[in-house]
Amino acid sequence: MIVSQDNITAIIPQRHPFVMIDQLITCDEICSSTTFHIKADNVLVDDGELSEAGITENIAQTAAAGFGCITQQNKKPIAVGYIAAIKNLEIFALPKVGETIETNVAITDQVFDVTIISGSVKCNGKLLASCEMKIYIKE
Amino acid sequence: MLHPHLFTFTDLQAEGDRLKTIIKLNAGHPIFKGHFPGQPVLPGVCMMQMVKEVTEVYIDKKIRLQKARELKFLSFIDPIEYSSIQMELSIKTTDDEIKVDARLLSDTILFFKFSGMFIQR
Repeated sequence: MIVSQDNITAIIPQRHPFVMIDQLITCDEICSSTTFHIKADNVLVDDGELSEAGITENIAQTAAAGFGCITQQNKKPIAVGYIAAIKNLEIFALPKVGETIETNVAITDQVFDVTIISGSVKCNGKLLASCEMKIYIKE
Repeated sequence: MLHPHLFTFTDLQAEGDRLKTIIKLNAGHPIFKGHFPGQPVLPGVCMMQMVKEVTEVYIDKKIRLQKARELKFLSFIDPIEYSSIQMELSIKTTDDEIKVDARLLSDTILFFKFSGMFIQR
């Protein structure tokens, strides 16, 4: 683990109740991975499951944590990022309250202030969701 | 459910497979405290969830998003400035799939374009 749940908001701009990752597990210039335990009081939990919005935001915040970790190492302030587009989103199943998901993100391209990532979410080794995202980072 | 705490919708009008409704956003919702502090912006993923929830009410079935070829977030939605916006949807239902194309817009701005496939849960 690189960043614990207690310190995760040091590397992402989102705050409670809209934090959709717990811990940053790995991070380098290209890849980042996180874990997230689904709690019943999460604002994006619906009928005992993390919603489609929740799982998609989890991928976006895993990317944000990766950017944030590198930014912090370079001693720069954490930038706010916005999702500009999502492509080829596929959701096979949604995680239930009490489960922990593991999310992997890889940067596939970077053009000026737009970063393109590819992300996937697994739970107990089973693929739950994947997509590509275009993220606009406001410096 | 984001409805009815984050948003409500009224004046749902259907014409063939096309649907229009007026969305009202609640700028006091806790989500805006975290996204982002002092700088409220409707999260893009919530726009996607709003399309799902309006569709569920209209077809009176619980659904889950299975695939979305492309979602475009074209302009920020500040819930104070844009407390009332429009949603337009086209809903095509086959045996077990529900294809939805949707847009969120004001009179002058297109905020969001959605194209996705839901399955019945």
